[in-house]
Amino acid sequence: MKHGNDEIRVLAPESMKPRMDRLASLSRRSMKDHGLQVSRREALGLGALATMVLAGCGGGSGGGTSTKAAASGLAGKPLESDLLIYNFADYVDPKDIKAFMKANAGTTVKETYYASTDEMEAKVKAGGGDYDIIVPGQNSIPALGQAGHLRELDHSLLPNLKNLDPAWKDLDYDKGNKFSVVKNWGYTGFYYRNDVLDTQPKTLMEFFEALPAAAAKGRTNMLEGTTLIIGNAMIAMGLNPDSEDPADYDKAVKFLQPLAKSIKTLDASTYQADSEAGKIVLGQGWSTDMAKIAVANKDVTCVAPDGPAERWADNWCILADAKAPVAAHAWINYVLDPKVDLREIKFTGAATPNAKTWELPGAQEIRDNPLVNVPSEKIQKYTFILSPTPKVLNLRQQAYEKFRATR
Amino acid sequence: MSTPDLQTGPDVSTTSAPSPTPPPPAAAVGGAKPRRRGGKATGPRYPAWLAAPLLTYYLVIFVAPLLLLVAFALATQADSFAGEQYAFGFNLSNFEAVFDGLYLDVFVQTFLLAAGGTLATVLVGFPLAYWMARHVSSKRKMLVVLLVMIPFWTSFLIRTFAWKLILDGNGAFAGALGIDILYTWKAILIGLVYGYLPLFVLPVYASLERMDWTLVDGAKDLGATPWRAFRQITLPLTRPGIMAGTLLVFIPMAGEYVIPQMLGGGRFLFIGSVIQGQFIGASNWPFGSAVSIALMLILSAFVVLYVVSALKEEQFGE
Repeated sequence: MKHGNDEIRVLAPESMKPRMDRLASLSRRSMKDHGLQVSRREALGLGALATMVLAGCGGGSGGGTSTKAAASGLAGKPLESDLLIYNFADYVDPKDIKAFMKANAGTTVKETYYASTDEMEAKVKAGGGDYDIIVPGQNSIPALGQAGHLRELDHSLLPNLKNLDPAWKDLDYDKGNKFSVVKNWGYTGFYYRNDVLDTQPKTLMEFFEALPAAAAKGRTNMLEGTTLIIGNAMIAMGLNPDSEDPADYDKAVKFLQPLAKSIKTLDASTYQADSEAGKIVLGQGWSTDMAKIAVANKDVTCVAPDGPAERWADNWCILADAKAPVAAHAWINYVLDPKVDLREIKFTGAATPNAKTWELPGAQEIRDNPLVNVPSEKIQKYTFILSPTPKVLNLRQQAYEKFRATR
Repeated sequence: MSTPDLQTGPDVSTTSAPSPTPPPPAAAVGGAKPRRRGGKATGPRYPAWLAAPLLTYYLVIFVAPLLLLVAFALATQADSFAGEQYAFGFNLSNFEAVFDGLYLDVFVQTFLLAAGGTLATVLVGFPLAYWMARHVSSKRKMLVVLLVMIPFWTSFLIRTFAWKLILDGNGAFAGALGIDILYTWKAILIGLVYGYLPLFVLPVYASLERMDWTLVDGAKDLGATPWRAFRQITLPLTRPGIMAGTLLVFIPMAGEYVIPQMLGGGRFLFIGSVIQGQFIGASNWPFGSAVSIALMLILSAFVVLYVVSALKEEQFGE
């Protein structure tokens, strides 16, 4: 493609370039014949659009989603100049952002950060911020999707979606990947000082049961948050963490209240450093953090629980009012490339839903770490917490307050 | 609308503290009134429109958000995430829920903590202010005032986090002293006193500074014990400063969120955390607003009682 001011950036499979170019020159010529002057850029846009519509979009690689593509109206459009990603800090390798900008000259990618999903949700719901991409956990997606904050994904612009493991596609919280693509996944487990504790808890219930004895020996910590306390207790008890029955929440509170004194701190922001320093004798932890804790302190045993536990997934989503939807799709497609994704998981240390990434030679270390890439027979017993209705959020919040008010 | 008046109370009395006969806060409230008591204006009279900037400021910064909060508190939350999340109306159930047993407990805990924190601040702050006003040479006074204020130049969050390191039983400092109070109410109390001390010390210092100390000397000459002189002269004359200081400290302490979270390890539930959780965790803005308003009303009632009783005492003192 000639580089000049009539350059046009289009997200489409490489193989389609000659076809677009040909169509562009054809349409340009025919317009000229009719006495219309069009620039190469306009013609190329037209050509791309025509290719998409005529050739069943995606040139055979996306496949079967042509109607959706036509509906989104994004196919063939050039990438916008500014893409703003609203994400957790250190959750994307800055080198990949640079590489993306190099490959898509003219598009600037910027990242701003949030400390918690709650913070992100509050900002998105309030509107404003000009974000294009957000990275919500699975339990934010029902709320954001139903409220119309998320843009339906155009699968024809995400040919790399085919790389995903089917186990991480079409999930309960987003059937058909209408709004989201899993970025990384993990679970909530626990860890303990093996030189301090007399027991070796293996299940989530055993974790709760070990709290009183552990609290007598040092600091115990649970992660601050309603899903982490109430949701995890309900999962351990075999209850549905998204129950709409107030009685279930009463049961969870009754279960937790006697333990309240044995849970010395509720902290999710600094617990990793504290546990690496050995200051926490028994605590709840996210898999990505635990992988680092296990390496940093040999006296700490990290556990991916046997039996029921919470699993989570962080997802790429595009906001409904995104100003750069084409570039946003391009970015998501870019990070679904196994080679890029490998760099990403090496940077974040989190498990990937990308089956092709695991096959790459460099992925071994993370793939074979059972704390990160939990065996599938284990993960199948893990549950997503979804928070499908305001009622569930309210019941959970109230149960959490009852627990926290217990001395 | 009594709330805004009460909120301005402390500021007004701070500025009026240095004057030897401070007008009662209630009369000084609302800079909008161009006249003073009963129209006996002694200074030049200014046209009323001069108050317009101030009034506009209050309307935009205070009254409008407050009305918004009231509107949300009376709204009903939707059953589904789809569509409008709130139906505005006149729904009192949010307020009924506030007076549910659970939240009453939290309110009591919160006010006990704020009262304890205020008392501790007075016990630490008054001697400090007294020392600054009486025993520091006038050349060094500026330096000492500066030293009191310097911590304010650092982020509140960072200063609180520093206390986490200081109080950590596994850390170098508390560990060496054998103190292990991090994540207890004691740690919260220390954090509160530390965080709010300057807000108490400065107004009290100002009123002690301007006091006519010859009165105390006179009392002593006439045979009063130092304690009696303090009780009958120093204390009544510095009452406006003490009132301003305690209010400036008590009110934000009652809504404090960061200190209990960081130094109490999140294990103590105060009303500030409830409000935060309702707004952000549960996305229940109506209930969060109702709790906020309840907090404001209760605080306002406290302040009115406090001001009235303090004024009564002052009259008896005179």
